[in-house]
Amino acid sequence: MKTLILKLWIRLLLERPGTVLLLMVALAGASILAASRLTLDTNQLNLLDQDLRQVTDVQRVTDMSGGAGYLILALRGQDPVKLKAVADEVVKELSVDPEIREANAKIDTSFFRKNAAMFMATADLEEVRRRVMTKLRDVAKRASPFFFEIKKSEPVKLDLDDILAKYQKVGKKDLNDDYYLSQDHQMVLVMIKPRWDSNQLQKTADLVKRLRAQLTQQQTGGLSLVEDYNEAPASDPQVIEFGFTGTYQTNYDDSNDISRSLPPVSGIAFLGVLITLLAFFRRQFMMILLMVLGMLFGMAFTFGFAWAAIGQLNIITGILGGILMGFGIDFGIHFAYRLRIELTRGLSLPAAVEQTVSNSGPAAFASAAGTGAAFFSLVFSEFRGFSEFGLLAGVGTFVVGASLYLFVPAVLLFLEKLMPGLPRRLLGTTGVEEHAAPRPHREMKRPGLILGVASAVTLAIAAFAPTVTFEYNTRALMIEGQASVRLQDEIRDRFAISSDPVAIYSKDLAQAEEVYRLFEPKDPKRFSTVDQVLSIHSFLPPTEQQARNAAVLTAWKEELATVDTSKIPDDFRDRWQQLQTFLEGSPFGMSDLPPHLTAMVTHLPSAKPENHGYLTYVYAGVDLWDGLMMLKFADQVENLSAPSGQEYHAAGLPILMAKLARIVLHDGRTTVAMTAVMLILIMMLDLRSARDAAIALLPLGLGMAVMLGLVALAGFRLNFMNIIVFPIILGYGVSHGVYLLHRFREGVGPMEALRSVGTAVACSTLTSLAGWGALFFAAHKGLQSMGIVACFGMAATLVVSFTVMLPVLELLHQRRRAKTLVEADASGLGETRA
Amino acid sequence: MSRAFASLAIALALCSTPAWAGQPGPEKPVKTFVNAIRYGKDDLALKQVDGESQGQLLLGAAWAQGTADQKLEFIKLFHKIFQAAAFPKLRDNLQKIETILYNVPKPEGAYTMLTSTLVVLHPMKKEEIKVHYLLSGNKAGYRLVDVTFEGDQSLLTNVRTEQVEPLLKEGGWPNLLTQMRTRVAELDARN
Repeated sequence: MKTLILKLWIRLLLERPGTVLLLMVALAGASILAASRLTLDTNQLNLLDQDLRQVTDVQRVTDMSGGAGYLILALRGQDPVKLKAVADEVVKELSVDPEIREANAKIDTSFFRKNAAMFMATADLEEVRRRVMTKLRDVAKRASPFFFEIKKSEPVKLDLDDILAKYQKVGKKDLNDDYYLSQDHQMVLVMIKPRWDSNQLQKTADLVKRLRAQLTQQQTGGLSLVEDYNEAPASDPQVIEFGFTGTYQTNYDDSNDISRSLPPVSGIAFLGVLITLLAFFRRQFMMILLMVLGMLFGMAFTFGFAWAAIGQLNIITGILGGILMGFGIDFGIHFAYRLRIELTRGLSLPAAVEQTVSNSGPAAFASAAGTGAAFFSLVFSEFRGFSEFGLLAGVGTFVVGASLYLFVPAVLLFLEKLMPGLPRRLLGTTGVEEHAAPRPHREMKRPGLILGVASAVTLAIAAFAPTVTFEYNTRALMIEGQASVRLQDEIRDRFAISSDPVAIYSKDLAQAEEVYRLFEPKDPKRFSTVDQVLSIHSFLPPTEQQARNAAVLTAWKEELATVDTSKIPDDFRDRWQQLQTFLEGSPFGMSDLPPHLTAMVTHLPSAKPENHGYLTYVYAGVDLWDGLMMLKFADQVENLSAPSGQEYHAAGLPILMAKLARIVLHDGRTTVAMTAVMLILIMMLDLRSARDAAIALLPLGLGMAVMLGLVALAGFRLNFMNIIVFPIILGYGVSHGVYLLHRFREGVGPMEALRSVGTAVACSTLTSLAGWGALFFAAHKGLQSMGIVACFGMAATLVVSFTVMLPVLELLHQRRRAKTLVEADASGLGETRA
Repeated sequence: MSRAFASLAIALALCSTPAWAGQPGPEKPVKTFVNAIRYGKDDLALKQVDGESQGQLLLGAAWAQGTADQKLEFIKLFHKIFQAAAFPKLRDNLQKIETILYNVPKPEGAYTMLTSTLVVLHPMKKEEIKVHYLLSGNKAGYRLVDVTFEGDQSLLTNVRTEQVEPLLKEGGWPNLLTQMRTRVAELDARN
């Protein structure tokens, strides 16, 4: 089968090079047209299987609440009154904008203040009463003209902070001020919900542009508004700074930054590949040009395939161009080096091409199969970012390889037909060179010693592999210094809020209560990562509690009736009035809740009938950027079993991110295992020798261990993105051994094999390093880390191939030679051998 | 009931019609006491106060355990503190008196209880406050011992339960006197 394919391939090239070229050009044209229609989706969450429960749950919440997240306009300044005035102005303008579903800078919290006593646990209310009365008695006592002390004491302090802290927020809204005003009173937020999804980036960009123009032109009350993402407010009190953030803005910024950083990465990769080729091929510009063109043809086909198969690229497949350049050019390099050897042996161009395809073709195919197997192992990932990358990179590896093995010889043979001898002149191999003459046998001196030293060094570095750590902080993978993300952090700090909550759907009030009672009263052990829960029942304290508290208030009022209010000092008057308001609280029911509160936790009128119901919001009390904490939070709240047996599920970004993290961690392990198994099978099929397969795979195992050791020694960490590089390195790393081993199996010694394919292997590794190394220049730190780990891995497998595998082959070769000599001696031919 | 109106009661005693006109009734030491404070004659005011009886009421059974010197020092220090801490505030409050009505005095054990009704005019309402004066002595001469606003504990009861008893419990007479000396030193330094 292998032979038949090779024969057909060679025949096609030799007999119809023009047709081959014509077909390739036509196909490339169609592919480029298709590839130009590719779009880039940078939202990782879109790459999860849309049928996953976690995804459909989020879709339901989105339908119920009118879209996930907000566009947040943050106003920063020294005077909260001015901030509020500007916020009111913005809200007024946006409220008549047909494109805006809603815009708010405040929420009416008077209901909570009026009924604060009903929301308190009775024990807390009793404690408040005790502390207040103790204070009042002390105040009255000290106000008496007869008051004196033998031993001086300090006035009783009325400190209710520990109790009020429990009740001063509903959800994450502070009840002390209706505006979304920060604790330090230096920032006011305007929450804007457009009528489109946050993934419609251009619409968001247009809205932000319009708002920016409006704000900078606004001169309300002599104020000037300036866009600024620096945390410190302007020193001039007449200057209000503003900035945009929220889901809409960060989605746009993410996409924009990634999109902007990818083309330079591909450009740098191309430059790196070109420089490597120039360094190795010197003045063989013709061959360099052919290789680059062949590679570009292959890439065009691959991206055409990408459009046909998927229709768009994602954050992972977006780097495919650079990676394929680095990988794909390898086939051209090996072809070029082998062709040069054949030509310098004095063969005609057609014969040299035939020999090259026959000899290096199978090795190239085995190498492509190994690399492709690694990529294809990703196809089974639940995360489309990986599965699509696996598919495209796997197909791309074969397509670029085939393209180079067709295009380069076809051009040379076509030129040979038109102008015989021209290709040889262009290639700089015009005659028989020293390669043609038999060379004395070159052998490695003291291979045992070299093997021992190389093994010791390899094992010493590999010993650090177990110390490599995993970076669970997903923040460490993002683009650094993004303005909207910095503003999000500032808001988190100023408002003391953790992050967006997750939402639990329940179809009716009874279920909503069942969910609420799972969290309240809070079980600190079961829900150690939960900060706060917001439900319709957060607005509705239990009837029994309200009755008990009403009785406490009645008794308290009676007690206070005996207090002579004229004795209350002036500096205590405000608090006395607050107390009077507090005592006015009375029991209430569901029908008494203001509509704007119930709307926060129920479906919108526009929601689909099947999505009607209630939402319970759960806020994390841990840093969700920390992957471990995120997984723990998801573990605690994602799947909830109520005492009735009813199952409830939390939905939201943290849950999706946790699912994604689990998929990546799982896939990282399984794809490495799958790739390893496939590589063993491929090597066994290709080499048909367990010993040779083991030797071919030797650089892999050791190379991977060295890579991990280097990662640890360099202070880098594995993470959710670079973990996926592992199977790719396995697949690529095998090629070093394959080319050397194939040459070795042709009967030449390992030093000779190194001489003929070692340069090609080194060159191809460097081009691959150029492809992955270009990721160092990616703005996204996750992509950067992929480049770092890949470069470590490839360099390690290359070095191990040359330092450990070669001595092993040399030892085998010496044994082979000795055996041959013995056989020759036995047959009486000993004198004729060198 | 707040004790803030004690000064009013005492001051009104000065300007109201005495129940026993023509003879030194129980209201006399009250009137003298307040008038002396009003005009800054603190020593005269203190002479209207029965320190021995106050000591007995403040220390209860412990009073008998004190030496004569300790008792004398206690009375001296107590009056010093009383004078320094309470008299300035009393002087301020004396300006707010409207009128006062006295009831007939009644014996209360070894003492005499004189009840009065203070009438205080607030900006928006008229308020009546009942005040009880505890006096020692007899028709030959009365001295002020304690004051109680209706519904509240008496002045001495408050001082006894909140200050004297804890100090006695903590370290007996010596501790009580030490604390009182310290307090007097503080007040002297402040003035």
